[in-house]
Amino acid sequence: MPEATVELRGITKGFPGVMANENVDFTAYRGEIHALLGENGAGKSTLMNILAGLYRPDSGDILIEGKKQDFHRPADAISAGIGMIHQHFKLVDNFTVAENVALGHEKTGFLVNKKKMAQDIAAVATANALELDMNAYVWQLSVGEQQRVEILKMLYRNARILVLDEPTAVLTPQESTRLFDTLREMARNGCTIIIITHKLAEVCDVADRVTVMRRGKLSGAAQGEEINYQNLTSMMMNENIKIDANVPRGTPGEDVLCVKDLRVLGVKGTVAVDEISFSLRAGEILGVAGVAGNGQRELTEAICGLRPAEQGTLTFNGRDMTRESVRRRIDEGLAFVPEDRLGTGLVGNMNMADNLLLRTYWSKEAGKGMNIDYSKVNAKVDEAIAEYDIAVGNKKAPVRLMSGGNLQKVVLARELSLEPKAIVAAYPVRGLDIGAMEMIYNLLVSERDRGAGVLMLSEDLDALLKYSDRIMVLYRGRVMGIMDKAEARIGRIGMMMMGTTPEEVAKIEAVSHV
Amino acid sequence: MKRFLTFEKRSAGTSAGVFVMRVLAIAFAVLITALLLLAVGKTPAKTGSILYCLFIQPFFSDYGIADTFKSAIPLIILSIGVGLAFKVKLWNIGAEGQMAVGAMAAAAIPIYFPNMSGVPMILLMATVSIVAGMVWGAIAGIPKAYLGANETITTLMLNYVALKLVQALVLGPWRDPNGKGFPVAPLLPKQGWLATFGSSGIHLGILLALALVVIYWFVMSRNRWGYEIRVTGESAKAAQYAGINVKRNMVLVLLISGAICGLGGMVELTGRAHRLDANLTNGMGFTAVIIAWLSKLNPFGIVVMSLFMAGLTNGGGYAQTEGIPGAIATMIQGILLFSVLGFDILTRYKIYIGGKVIDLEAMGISVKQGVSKLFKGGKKHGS
Amino acid sequence: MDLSMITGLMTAMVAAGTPYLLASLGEIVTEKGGILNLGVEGMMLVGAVAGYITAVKSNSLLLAILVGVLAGGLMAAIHAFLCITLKANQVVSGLALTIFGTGLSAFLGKDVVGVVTDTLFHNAPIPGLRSIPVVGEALFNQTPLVYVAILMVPVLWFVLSKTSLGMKIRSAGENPAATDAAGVNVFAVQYGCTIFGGMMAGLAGVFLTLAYNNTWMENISAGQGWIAVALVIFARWNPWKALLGSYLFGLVAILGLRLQAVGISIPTQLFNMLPYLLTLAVMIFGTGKVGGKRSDGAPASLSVPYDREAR
Repeated sequence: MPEATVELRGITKGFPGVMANENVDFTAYRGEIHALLGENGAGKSTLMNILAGLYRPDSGDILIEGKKQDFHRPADAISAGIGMIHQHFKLVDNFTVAENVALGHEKTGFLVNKKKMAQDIAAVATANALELDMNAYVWQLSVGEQQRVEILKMLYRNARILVLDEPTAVLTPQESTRLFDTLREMARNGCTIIIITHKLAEVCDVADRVTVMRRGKLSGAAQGEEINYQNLTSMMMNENIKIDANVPRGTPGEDVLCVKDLRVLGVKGTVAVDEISFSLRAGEILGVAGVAGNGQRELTEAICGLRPAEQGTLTFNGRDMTRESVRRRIDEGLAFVPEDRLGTGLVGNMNMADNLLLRTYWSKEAGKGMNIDYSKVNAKVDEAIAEYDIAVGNKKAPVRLMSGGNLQKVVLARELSLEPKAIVAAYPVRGLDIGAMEMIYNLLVSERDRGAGVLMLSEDLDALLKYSDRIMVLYRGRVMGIMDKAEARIGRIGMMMMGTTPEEVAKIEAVSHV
Repeated sequence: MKRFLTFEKRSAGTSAGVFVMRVLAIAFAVLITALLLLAVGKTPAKTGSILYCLFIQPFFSDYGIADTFKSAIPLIILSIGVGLAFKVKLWNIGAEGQMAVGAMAAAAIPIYFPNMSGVPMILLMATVSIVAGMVWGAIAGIPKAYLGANETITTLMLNYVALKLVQALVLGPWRDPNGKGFPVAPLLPKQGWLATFGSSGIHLGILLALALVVIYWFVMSRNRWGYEIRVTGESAKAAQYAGINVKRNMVLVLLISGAICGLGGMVELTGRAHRLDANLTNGMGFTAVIIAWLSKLNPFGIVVMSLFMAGLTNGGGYAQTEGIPGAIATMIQGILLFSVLGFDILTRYKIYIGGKVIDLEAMGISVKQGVSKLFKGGKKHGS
Repeated sequence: MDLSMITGLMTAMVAAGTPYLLASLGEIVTEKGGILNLGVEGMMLVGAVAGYITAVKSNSLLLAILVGVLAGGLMAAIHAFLCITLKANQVVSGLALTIFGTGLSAFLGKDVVGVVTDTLFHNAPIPGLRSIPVVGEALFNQTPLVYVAILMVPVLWFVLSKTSLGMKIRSAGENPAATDAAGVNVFAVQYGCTIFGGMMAGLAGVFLTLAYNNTWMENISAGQGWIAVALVIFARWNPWKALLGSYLFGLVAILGLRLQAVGISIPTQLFNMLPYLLTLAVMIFGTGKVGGKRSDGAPASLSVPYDREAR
């Protein structure tokens, strides 16, 4: 048995309203790649932030290489040999690779000998199979290379334990492969590598040992041969949920929204939506499953006109809408419940009346001529409060003071008041309590029954299975498959979310008789 | 990571909180001023009379009030102009230059068309000043929207260009031969002066200033375009979601902002200065930046703050009779600004000092409750 | 125009450009650290009056420099406290600093208006160097502060680009969060840069009263602090370009006066406008962002308050 380098014993950490970690044990050994696996919000990042000295545990012990440690700040963890690489890189764009690595390090004397500094750092890089041009500026580097700079920064500071938070979230498949090669090399050299992830595929690919978390608790561990899809899926998700048949299926009509060969670029200019084609019918809910960051945001924004389509067409109500303005799409009956409620869907510092106006302020209903008629709008506020049961202390107060559920009701009250022909709902119940969730889902179902087509994105597979008429799975900007409710299973969707094609899924199922 | 002093971000303060903060800040500034005067050897009695000149006379004596209003007119106009730009988070600090080109353009009219009669002349002056201000706004606005050029720096540079332009004119072609050697343009013909109310010296410009305040308020609270501006200023993302053309509005706002400031220059020229010189703007554009910021872009707050700043400047003049330089008003303005800036953190953060929390919101609420209790006359109520 | 006239013009240019140079070098450091201080004019005035009063009262030039520099630094410390610790708006705070400094200097200086002192800087020609043709006299037969200003150029360039301190300063202005994560005390760096900027402005003020105008009067800097701010942008945050820019601005100022004196009537104000127009053009057409990356030397996080808790 190799030496245990990281031992976390009985770690408990609570935040107001949430128990992020509850009595969690975790052990990692020298020379291994250890995956910490779990859904979003399972408590993985909290646990590792405790290890990195960012948070202090409420109780529990941290042992590094057998010695008990008490971290007060990140610097303590760094000097104990722990290097954490966060999802968002902390690099200075206008500095070279070498400058970024040397910045703030005591090895860097007052006088900077750039040549020698670059040589020293390059030596560390070469020893760990990190290929980098020391004199390149960070802004010239690809995301994968920037990540290498972060890793190099940690190694240069003598990190022996490396924690990577969702390291492949921003990488292309090729870059991911390359990263894993590097990590294997570093493990061989005696480092302990811990990767936080929710991607099963890469765990199966790269991990020597896996620890699985669910809802703040340890839910399983595996090593060697035990690391396979079935095993991990059952540890990660609760498979024993029955599909609730109480939600009757919709009666789909004609296509209301057709997406054809759509290609959309993401923030960084990379292809986020890659030639997607599908159609949404009137009177159905089309659920969209997928791990976050696989093109969902870009897809919804492109459909609703907030992001240009690079290629492909969008047909709405039989009309080509690919180049139409946001306003035109709204007028045609396209509603959008965006992912971030405050900031995009609502303006936090404005009151309810102003927020109800957000997507209709130009309309005849909102006023006459150049001006807004607030008596009309205020009447709508009262209607909305009554109809959607919105709890609001002071109608004139900024909406940011309202609870999440009520905020979402305000968004829906506005979007549904247009009697839309199609509704794009991105994670409509995220962060809401059970009661509000039920209400939002029921609203979407009744909209469907009215005849609207609903495109619903969700992280909650159970809910997708319950409410959708069809389910589409997105993976790396592509549609992995679209299946009818009758043939949808959590396991199937889960595998497709990890990049398994429907054909491969069928093969796996045939072998294991799922 | 507990430090002695920690800040915890909070959402923007409520009006009650802001009110408490402003009162605290002004009280603190008065206190510092008093201490400073005592420190430089003024007797307490002398200090008292200086403070009286600074803070009481401009606001409570008849001639003081008239003076204060007169000085506040251009400040109100400029602050409205600047405030409009701030509303969409554009840091237009070019009010000084926009005012200067506005005054310059207006001054050209009587020089080249001396025989026009009053009303057409004033209307033409107003028009050209608006156009000139707009041009100055556009030079900053268009590169900002389409090239991303930093508007703080471009508007700052444009200030110098405008002031040099005015200097060149009053030293050169427009120089008044009867100016006793001073670099000034000739006095405006009488028909180009704005009428005043009696002997107060308060001119028609005040109506324009107040009209702008009301228009600003109306546009921001009722108008569809004003609604676009408010949404854009709060969140560019939400504006896009609402189908608003953010770039077009950026340009438009800087154009209008420049136009208003240009008009402010014309009002100051025709209402008070009556002749163009290089000191006509006299830092008012910068004062307006401060006023707009301190009033949190509330149009009525702008009126109050403009009167306050105008009064403070005039008070410095009155204080000269007590044997101190008029510049003391400028200094106190500075102290006041520091004080307000410092206290402003309370509207954005909760502050923990060695374990104790300072929470402005709570203070504001307790003040509100205290006041309402006073009015309810000690009526008892449960919970 | 003969050679002696050119030499005379250049000598005047260097002297006139020196306050610009001192103040803009300070502001370069401040801005490189990520803090925008528009209060240069105010700091300069306070430095000027503090230095002059000290010279009058103590007859010690050294003490006068010290007090002037410290006064500028103290002024900047107010800005630093408001903007770094209290995260106030840097534009507003800088404007307030200028307003405050204008008032404070007039208030403090009212007793020394018109008072003469012999405690002044005198030309200290550098033997040998001054006999270099044309430029020798202009650069090396000047008051000591002129040499200090010139010397500061390579020093600051060296510190900013060749030392780890410079790296910390630049990275604090580029990306304070990354700098913090690398274990650098961002707050200390920014405080230091801001106060250094104030001290340099204070020194520029001392130059104005004790080496250039040889007297104190209200508002003696007459906008030179603002010009220094513009110069920083014109020079693209580079000390060497600030040197060129300062002398260029100095030349423009001198030329205006000289031409007027010899009766050539080109509108000197239009002439004076050139530097600003140039800066403006650089700003508008040089912003050229390529994929969000700039090469103009502007610190990426300039005037953005750094808040560790914010994400």
